[in-house]
Amino acid sequence: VELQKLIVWIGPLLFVAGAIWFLMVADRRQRLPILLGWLVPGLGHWKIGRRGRAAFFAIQLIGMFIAGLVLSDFRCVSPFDRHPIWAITQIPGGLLTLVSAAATAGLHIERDNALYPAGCLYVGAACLLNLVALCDLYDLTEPAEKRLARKAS
Amino acid sequence: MSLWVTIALFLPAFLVLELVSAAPGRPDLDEVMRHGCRNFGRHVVYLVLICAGLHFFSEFMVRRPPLW
Repeated sequence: VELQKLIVWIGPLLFVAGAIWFLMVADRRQRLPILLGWLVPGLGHWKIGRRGRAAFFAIQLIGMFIAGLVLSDFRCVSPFDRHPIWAITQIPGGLLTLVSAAATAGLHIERDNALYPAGCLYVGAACLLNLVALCDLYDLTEPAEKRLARKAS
Repeated sequence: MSLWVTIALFLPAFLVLELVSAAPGRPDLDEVMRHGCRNFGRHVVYLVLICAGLHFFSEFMVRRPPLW
């Protein structure tokens, strides 16, 4: 239980540290698309005009998130009350996590659902894969001169 | 949950994982799809083996008498 408490504190701090680091290294033009991409998977790609890529990420990640919700009877997104460890993986989900948490806050676990862990895994994986989509977005929006300077150093 | 249900549950998530992780560094979406699908085909054997291993190990752990 102590280890779980430690992870619950360290996990969000790592995300905050990552966000601060991103703000320090990112170009001004990269910040808005990345923020949009964090809020809704694919929205950042849409903003920079990569519509096909936006649909690619949105369909897969939002679809996986919804599949996870369905598998877990819409009860797996509950930040810091039912299962804090899974909640840490759901932080990169942005608005998907916030809206789901708000919409399902009144639901309670009333039956034994064998697919519940699979639902948690789907939702957590979808949110963490959004970080990969954000890395792709960062890569696509990085100015050429900055990339060359980074590679040279 | 049977082994086949476990594998069937993991397969779609694994496909998404392979497709999304193939995207960074590849500007062409067709190339991303091709690379992701190829990797999925290559790595699915490992997924099935790991699922089977974990399944039988957990069954063994559940069935054996407790040590204390």
